[in-house]
Amino acid sequence: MFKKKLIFLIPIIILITACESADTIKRGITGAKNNSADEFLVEKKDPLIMPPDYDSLPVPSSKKEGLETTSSFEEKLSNTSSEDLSTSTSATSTESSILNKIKKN
Amino acid sequence: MQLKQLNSMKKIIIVLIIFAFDRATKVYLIDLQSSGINIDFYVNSFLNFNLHMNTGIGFGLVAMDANIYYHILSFVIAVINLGLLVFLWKSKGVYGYLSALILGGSLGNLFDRLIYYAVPDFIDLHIGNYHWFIFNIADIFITLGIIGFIIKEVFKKERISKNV
Repeated sequence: MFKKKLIFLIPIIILITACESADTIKRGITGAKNNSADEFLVEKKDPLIMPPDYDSLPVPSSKKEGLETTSSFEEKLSNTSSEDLSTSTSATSTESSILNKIKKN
Repeated sequence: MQLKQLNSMKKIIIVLIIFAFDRATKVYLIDLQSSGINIDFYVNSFLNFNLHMNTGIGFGLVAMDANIYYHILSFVIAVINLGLLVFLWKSKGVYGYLSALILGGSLGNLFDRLIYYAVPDFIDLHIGNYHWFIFNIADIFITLGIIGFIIKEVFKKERISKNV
């Protein structure tokens, strides 16, 4: 008898009460995911495309100029290296002179 | 006859007090919310007031917009309330007062369903991050009434078994 009354009472309780589940309980019961960043909302980059005025671009004819510049740079580099060498040779000469003096002593 | 009328009056007064108390708390919090104050504040470490509008029934079930199903559900709840009123009228002693508790709370929730198309819930009990269902004053009285009914039934059962 009591069980019957209880079975009758439970739906009435659910209907007349109005308690709302807190988010955590709702998530637990429904198995909903946590609010996380939607990966599909990340904006994709545009695909690589050919420029529309590709033909109007200047033809890369400055190959020689590029070479010349490199050659001038190389020249400068070679000059500096020769200077360095001279300094290094001078350094060796001083070294040798010192060594000679030591030998004499 | 006069005693019966006095008892009925007592029960109706209980119903009205619960209904008024429930309405007062809800109206106060809804007014605060509408004046721009966000109702989400901690009273202590295990109780906070957090105003939610429940469009469903108990335990957040069947939450829905104010469509035809919502109105059918409201009608069913109104019929239950009517049944509770009849039970209140017929019942004697403790049963009468317990059903008055239930009816007072139930009428409070039904009123909100009809006026706001949702029931405001705001009492949020929790231990750390574990929250109990958010409820209101009406739910407290309904639960007290139901618990009272169960206790009364258990004692009645024990008494019967002792007599046998």
